[in-house]
Amino acid sequence: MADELPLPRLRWDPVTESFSKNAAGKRVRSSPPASSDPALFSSDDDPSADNYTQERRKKKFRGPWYHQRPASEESSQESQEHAPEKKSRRTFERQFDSGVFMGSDGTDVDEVLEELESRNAMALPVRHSRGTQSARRLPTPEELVQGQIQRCLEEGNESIDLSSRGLTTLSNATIRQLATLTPIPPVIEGVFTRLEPKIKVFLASNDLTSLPGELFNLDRLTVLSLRGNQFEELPPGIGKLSNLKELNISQNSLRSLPFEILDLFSDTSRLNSLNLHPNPFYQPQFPPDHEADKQEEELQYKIGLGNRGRARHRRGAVCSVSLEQRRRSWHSQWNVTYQARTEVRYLDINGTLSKGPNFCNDSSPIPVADANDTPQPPTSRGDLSRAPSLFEVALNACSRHKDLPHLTSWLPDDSPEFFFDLLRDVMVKKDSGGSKCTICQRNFIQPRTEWIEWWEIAKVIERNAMASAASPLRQMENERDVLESMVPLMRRGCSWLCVPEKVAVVEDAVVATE
Amino acid sequence: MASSSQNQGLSKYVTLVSMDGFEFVVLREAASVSKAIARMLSPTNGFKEAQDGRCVFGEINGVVLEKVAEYFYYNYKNRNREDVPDMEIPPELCLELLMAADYLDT
Ligand SMILES: [Zn+2]
Repeated sequence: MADELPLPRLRWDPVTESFSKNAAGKRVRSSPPASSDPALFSSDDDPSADNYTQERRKKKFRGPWYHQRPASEESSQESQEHAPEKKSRRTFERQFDSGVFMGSDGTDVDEVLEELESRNAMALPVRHSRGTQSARRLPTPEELVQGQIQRCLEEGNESIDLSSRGLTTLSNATIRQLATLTPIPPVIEGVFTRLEPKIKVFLASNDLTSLPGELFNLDRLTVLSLRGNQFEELPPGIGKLSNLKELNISQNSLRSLPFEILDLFSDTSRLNSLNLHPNPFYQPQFPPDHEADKQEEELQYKIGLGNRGRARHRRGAVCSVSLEQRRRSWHSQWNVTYQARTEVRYLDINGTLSKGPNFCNDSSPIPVADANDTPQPPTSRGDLSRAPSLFEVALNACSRHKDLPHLTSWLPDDSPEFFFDLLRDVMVKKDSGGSKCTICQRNFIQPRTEWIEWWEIAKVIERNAMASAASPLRQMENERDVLESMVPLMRRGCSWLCVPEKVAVVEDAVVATE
Repeated sequence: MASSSQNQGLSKYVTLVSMDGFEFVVLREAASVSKAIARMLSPTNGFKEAQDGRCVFGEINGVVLEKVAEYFYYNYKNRNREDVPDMEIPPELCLELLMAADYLDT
């Protein structure tokens, strides 16, 4: 079959959102921002009769015609796009002018544009005829998913089911497509109604270990399923999803959740359904006198007695109340209560432990800190500062470097493996949206303090939902109750001065019993 | 740290020398934020650097060492501040500064 669209060859410039025949030496005019949704049109370009011998579907395209690229051009363009990546390992040398990019100064503009294009490989979906497709390599899972998302966009389908697609990575470019999703409004007696999209993203049963930061910028995201992946941590950005109604993170390798996830339970949030378990969460180890209570609780849990009549607080006569908990206002649907924390881990500039407990990888529980614990930094107080280390300043500059993905190729050959790992980490963190100090809100790359806080995060059970105490529903709620009474949240700080506040210790002899 | 070194008659300033021969004279107290420099300059360790207050860095060039010295003052100036401004460094120096920071332990 002939090319689907015999079009002149133009180069799409993602920066200026315009086309140019040849950008070199020319100032590109940027087109005005689009004021309306891209037009849909169909192709009737090849009217020869043999196209009509079989049933034929009209091809639909979204956007203006000049966004579409013929299939054969795509393959030739791709070979160009990949060319810059094959460049040989450069020796480490200073590039004084590499930080500045002038759109008008000519010679190397093309190369930069191609690199940009290859990085945001957000290739507009080009439908291939069967003949050309079989000659090409098999598409990656992510490419297949991009096509699927594009179909959802065309159909206005808000439910993006990417479950069991063998995904190991998911790029920001792929997710960015979803920000343009507009549902097709239903026509009721000739009247169009405008709809806010309610995006649902199902990523269950893949092999994901990290998430693209753009996912947390989808403020219309209402359902997110990450069930059955390989996550060991979730990005802190997940707390930004203020319209999320359902979140499923069960069956991963999560030892803790980001502290920022508490934002999903504030009084302005919408979260209604949360699936946390099973995950190998860090368990707290209380001092011996509380241990007896805990074992009793476990016994009750095992034989399915649940929490009937159990004391709400089991910290003996002393109950600690986090100031954080008081400062915030929580959603009435959720019971969100600080329980305990570990001692603070103080980390050196490069992330090695300087002082503090080990969070080991086996399933052994971690001792909780005393309610009166005051964190003691490894050095004397006088040497402490909130100023970032030079190491952090440099890491930050690396993170903002326009060529971050290729920075490792500029490292000298004899650099320790540590630097390669470090730069790869920086890239993963940047892609997943970065992190802020949970004490002073400063952006950081390398944390200097970290500790785990255990919080009870449990849904307030509606009374009339438990008609019968003997019903299985009742028992299930109780099991969840026990598990969700100790959710480990990882808190990180940007300096050795960013440590937990002192908790208000309340002499509380009265323990609330049900 | 500074007061103890002054008591022992050590100079208030130290000289940092780059591999290509550039010299930067900085406040001893400010430079001591680098644990590596603090070790070199500590009189108890008996290094030559402690006597003449001169540290030669055979692996750091002048452009990078200048930024290092600038960082020492940035850190010194902001050591007691609650909200510390960001320090900007040119992107093309980021890798060399990263390795210098790792070497200087700062
Ligand atoms: Zn902080």
